[in-house]
Amino acid sequence: MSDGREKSAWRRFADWVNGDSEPIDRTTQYVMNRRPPRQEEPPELHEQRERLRLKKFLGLYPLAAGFLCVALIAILFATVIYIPPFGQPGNPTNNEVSRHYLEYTEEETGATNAVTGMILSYRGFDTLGESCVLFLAVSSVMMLLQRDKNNTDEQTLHRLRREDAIERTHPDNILRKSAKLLTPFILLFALYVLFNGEISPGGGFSGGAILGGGLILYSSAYGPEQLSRLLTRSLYDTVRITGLMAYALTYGIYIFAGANGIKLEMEWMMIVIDLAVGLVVACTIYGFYTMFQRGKV
Amino acid sequence: MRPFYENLPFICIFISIVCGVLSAVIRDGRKTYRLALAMSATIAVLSAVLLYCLYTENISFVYSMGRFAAPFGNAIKAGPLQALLVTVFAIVMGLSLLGGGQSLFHDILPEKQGLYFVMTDLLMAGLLVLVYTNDMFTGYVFIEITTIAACAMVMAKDTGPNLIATIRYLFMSLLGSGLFLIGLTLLNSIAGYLLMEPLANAVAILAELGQYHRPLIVSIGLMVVGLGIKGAMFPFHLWLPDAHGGATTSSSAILSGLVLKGYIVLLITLMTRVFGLELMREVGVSNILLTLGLLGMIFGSLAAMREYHVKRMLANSSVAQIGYIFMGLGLGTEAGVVAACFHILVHAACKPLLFCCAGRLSTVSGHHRSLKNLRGSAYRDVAAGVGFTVGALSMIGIPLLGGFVSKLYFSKAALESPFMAVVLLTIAASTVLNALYYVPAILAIWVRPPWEEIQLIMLEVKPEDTRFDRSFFIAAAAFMGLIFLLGIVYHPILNVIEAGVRLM
Repeated sequence: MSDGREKSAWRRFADWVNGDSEPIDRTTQYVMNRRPPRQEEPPELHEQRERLRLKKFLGLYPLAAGFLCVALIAILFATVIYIPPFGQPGNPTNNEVSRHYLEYTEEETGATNAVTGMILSYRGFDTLGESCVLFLAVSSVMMLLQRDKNNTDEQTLHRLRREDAIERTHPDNILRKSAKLLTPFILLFALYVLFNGEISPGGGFSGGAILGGGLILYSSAYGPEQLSRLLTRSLYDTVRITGLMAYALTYGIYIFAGANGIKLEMEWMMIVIDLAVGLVVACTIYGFYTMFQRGKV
Repeated sequence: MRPFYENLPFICIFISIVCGVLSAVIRDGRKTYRLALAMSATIAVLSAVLLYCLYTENISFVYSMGRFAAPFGNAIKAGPLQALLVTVFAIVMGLSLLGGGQSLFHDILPEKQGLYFVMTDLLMAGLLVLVYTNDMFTGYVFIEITTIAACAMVMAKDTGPNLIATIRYLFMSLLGSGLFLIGLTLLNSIAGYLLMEPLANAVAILAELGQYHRPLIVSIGLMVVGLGIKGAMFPFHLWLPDAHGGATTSSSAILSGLVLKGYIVLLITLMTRVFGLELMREVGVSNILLTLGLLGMIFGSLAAMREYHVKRMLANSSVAQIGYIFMGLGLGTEAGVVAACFHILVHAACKPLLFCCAGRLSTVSGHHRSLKNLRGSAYRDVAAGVGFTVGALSMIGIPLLGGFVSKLYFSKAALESPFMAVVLLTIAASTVLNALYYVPAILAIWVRPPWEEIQLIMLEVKPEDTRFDRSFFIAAAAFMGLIFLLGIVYHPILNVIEAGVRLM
């Protein structure tokens, strides 16, 4: 009797060592391994149980989340009371750094706007990082949404083709006419903001956003096919990659020269960086639009 | 004119960004894979040279990123500790890609492989800047890069559960970034700087005068919690098992070995360079870190014991190991920080090895992941079996292996702490718990099941999967070498870390 119990304890230990959740003998376990997943349970019962679990979760979850949010908001409000009042001259942020930016930006960087000078020159490395963020964001969206055999079936393609056909036969005339009228001006304005942006307020980020917006308007009015004939995948990739590459290389040279005290005429750097940021931003905005809409550029 | 070696950190960052962009140009999976490997090797060599120069001269230096000296422009700062961490990170990155290469090309669709390596290369750039940065906002920007790249790497294996895990990971990560950013904004508004040295002076003055006491505490808390969420500190770790357990082998290895560490290294930089350990102890953040670290050590292991899916088990074990690191930081002493830095290296060597070996073992067992189906799989690929065993024993803390040394130094650091007894007991308990799930796993892969069971498994194995995988073999051997190196010649490494922490 005691012998048997000992053996079963040993067996239980051995099974546990072998990584089994339940101490069962080899035959049962062998059968269990080979058996297809359980299907005896009627699906409606299973569904009911899952729904109940979900309901419980959904009951508790908003409560917990709400509590956490309220707590965080309370903490932040309580903190905000104690931070320095907005816009006072004696604030800690009004130190020699901001004074330097305000006084010397034009002299040192050639930008008439201090913010532009900071974004493109003083703290250009951060801007390079932000451009990489945008580049990465488009790359991840491509990784997720670009049509491939995992995420597309015949049905989706069929639906897309049907939508295209409807678009072709019943064009939205109001949209088309206004897009035709507006797009050139939007693009012109984008170019103005881009090319003027290296010295004045605005710059790459806003110019690129306007450029991307113009492309999206055109694409939504005339159908994505129309635009993708002009702006092909390879052209899109070239522009996007050239933008970031130009930025990285220019700024790399600038950092290397600056840190090692090499005198280089880098007057042209600001405009290159400005245009590069603009291209990256425009491609990001347009890329998001077309990836989410069509799954391809 | 500065000596040339001072340019090396910048050159490494530059190389990784350019390689990332180049990968988008090339787009071919195999070529970009080789580019990523070459990039890791180059960065490892350059950083090793830098490490040698900095350690022999016993200096650290600030490198202004551009014409404008700090505090007006961006800056990075490198010392022996940073150089050592980057060297190991680059080696681990290369070896993880090498070790998981086969399943990488199996799991990811060919047309998307190029994009995957865009992510790995820019992730490397993110990690480099997180280690080197001397500017808070630069740190934040590269936290974002690391976050997006890491999420995309989880997502790369395009299956349902994986996408859910990615969404969870993304939400938690963004919450972490958001909290960090709010903390940073608060700190900037009361201290007025972004560059770390002037910021540290300002913070020290504020702390001494007792000005803006509340905003200071709240901002420290928000930043620590933000980085803690991203670094899988105990109660915020729930995203980790799904994200790390479900991704393709290389991604799991890189995420657990490097990405978690990048955020923790930034936290260490903040604690030592900006706030100072004394202030951390005063406002009680140290004790909170210590408590959460200790809880993580226990609960991470308990969660790992309940797992039968080998990669999820390893992922849960990461929570426990990260708990050790936070515990070391929570001791609030220099010795604790040194031990935590050493454990970062040890875990960066062990966990990727374990993930690569687990991935290889499941490949030779018909892509099954549960331990039950991996029985006896070590005989199908002995290198993977040996690698898994070495990694697991090191995690438990067997002498001659890296994990032993870090536990030794954690215990030594704990001797000075007022919570000595609790810390030592928890280390002991956690070691036993580690053994309780690693030893069964080792036994499971080495004990041969009955013959008919092997045959049934072999039916599902494709012949090309059992072929000798040379790149995996090289990676496993190199990882094992690294673990033995950390476990046997640990004195010079600890000297470097100590010098590095002093020169922070």
